Amino acid sequence: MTVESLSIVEAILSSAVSAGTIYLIASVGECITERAGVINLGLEGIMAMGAITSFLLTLAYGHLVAIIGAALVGAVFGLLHALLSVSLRLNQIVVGLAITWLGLGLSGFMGAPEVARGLLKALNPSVPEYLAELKQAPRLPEMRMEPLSDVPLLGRTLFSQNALVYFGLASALVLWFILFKTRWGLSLRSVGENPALADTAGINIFAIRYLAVIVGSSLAGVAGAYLFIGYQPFWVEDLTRSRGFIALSLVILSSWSPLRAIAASFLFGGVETLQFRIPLRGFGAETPQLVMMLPYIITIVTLILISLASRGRIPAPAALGKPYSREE
Amino acid sequence: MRVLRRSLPGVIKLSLRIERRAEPTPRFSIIVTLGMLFFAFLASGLIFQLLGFSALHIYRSFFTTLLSPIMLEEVFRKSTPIILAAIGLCYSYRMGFWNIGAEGQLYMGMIAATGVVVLHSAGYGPGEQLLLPAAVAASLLAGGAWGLIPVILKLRFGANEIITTLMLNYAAILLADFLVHGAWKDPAGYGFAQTVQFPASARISIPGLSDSIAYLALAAVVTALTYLVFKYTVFGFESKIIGLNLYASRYSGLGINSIMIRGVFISGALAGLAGLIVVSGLIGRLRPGASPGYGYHAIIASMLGGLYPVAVLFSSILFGMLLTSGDLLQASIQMPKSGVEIMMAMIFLATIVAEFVKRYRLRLSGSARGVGM
Repeated sequence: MTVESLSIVEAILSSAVSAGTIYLIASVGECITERAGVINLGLEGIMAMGAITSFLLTLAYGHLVAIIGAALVGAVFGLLHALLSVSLRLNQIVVGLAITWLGLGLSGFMGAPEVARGLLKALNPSVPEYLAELKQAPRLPEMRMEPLSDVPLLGRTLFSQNALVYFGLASALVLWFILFKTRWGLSLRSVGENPALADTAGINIFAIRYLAVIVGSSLAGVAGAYLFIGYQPFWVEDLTRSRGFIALSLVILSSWSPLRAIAASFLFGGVETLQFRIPLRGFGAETPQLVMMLPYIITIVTLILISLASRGRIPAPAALGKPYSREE
Repeated sequence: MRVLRRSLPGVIKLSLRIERRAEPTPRFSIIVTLGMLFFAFLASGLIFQLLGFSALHIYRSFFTTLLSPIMLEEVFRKSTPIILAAIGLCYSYRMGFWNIGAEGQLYMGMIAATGVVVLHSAGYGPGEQLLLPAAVAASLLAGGAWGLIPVILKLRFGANEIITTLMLNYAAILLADFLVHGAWKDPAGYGFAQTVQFPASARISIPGLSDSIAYLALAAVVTALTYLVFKYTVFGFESKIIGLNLYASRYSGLGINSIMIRGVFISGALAGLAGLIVVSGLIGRLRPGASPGYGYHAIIASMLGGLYPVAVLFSSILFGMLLTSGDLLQASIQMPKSGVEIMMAMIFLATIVAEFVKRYRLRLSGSARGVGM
């Protein structure tokens, strides 16, 4: 391989990882939520809230506060989800859609220049308000992991990214370990497979489900923060563009394992970057809409392939989507 | 079930229990829904106030939409696509098919209807007399066909329809964008990304009625027909049974696939018809962002109406009022457009909680032994 083609491959891989991290952080969190038997269709809206939070907080107080703030906002939305779906036992699909709606509406509203200006002033009066109108924030800096970043191919792909990419990878590893190698993870999975049995074994189903939904939602908030300050630090309406729902389908593709979610997410990160690479080759340079369809079409095709590969027996947690009540 | 328990000093324990109610009466359901709507308005007012907009001003502008005939016409114009799409969604939802794709089906309807007109203006296709019928048929078929994709993927591959319908929404919106920026761009349009205007022969009108009333009349007819279908036909009965219990209906030998496919096709076709109303009626051509999300508003409208066609008609008109007042507020106090989305989200949440209140009651019980297990 020549040096030139190597650097093209490096560029493609590293942008796949960069785009894939949006999906990685969100789908790792959703793996946890769904393993406990709750499906969170609110991901899309929570990501949007994470993104707008990170936008305003980065301008006001910098990146670290922004990321923590996005996680907290995600947790609040998760709490709302759990309150409605776990305690009130309402249909998880409808609850999730409502949360997505609220998140998209609220984030769109907060991102509008006249509102964003006021919010920024309220957050930190010493920052000039006009910054909010530029709809931009400083991007997360690249953190090179010397000397690993000098390794050919892998160095640029995995070890010359920003802090949230490492956070995404680390959270996948840690949560995989907790989920499959600890007692706590066993309890969580049993709640998602057979809550009645887990209940008789003395496991607190409600506490575990609350925790799983809140952890998953905070990660979705962080995914939104990454989408903005780590990937595309320019605010537009509908910034998330259904990525939350794509993350949901990636959870199926990774068969509810945070470890496999790494591969699935980076694969989709690659698909996402195709949108920008294909027009460079001439196709769709003037009207890129057909190329922009790719992630959506490929998501559908993926769902079909998963079904074919598993012969219709997709190994979802058995109690996924079912509210638990002791009386029924 | 216990959700909260507090130990008080001494031995008395208080616990909050969720108890199932008897089947709610229609009157009780309506009262609960209206009560929750009121809460939704209060809550969204609070949010707006916190974000720096006067809640009172917003409430006032909402009711202003009912006061002048011009405003009312605008409300009807905006309501019609929502009514049609929401009535369509009732067919999907009563079978338990989570069609989130009305927006995409609506876009396909707009694309197909516009395609007929573009062909006509290029000298091909149907003549003047057949132009409107052809556009109507095209929009119905295209919307229905777009709905068939997710239902077939679900029946054949078990693909989650929430995800597939959402993905297809983006595909349809991008397809419309692609066409108006490219092949269908009006050559005499000064470079704007839009198609040729619909000729008078491709526009819906009823002699003696204003356009908005004509659209509303069409939507009302569709609502009435749907009411009859749900209440008096075998198909209406079977589709409800599928929604109540899919497994039981499979064992009892219902042709589930065929009923599902028919139901979702109708669902999509009505969204497609909503698309026709948008391009042929409301804006007279296809352009990017032609629908401000009517297909999404329809989801909430159909649920707020509890999937009862007549109630859905009224909840859709409520959404038409919200959209119209949103325009007013954007002009008067520069309130961002997504303010309306927040109100709709609060209404959606209120609808969900209303479902809970209808079915369960909370009871605070105290006892010396702690009965609240």
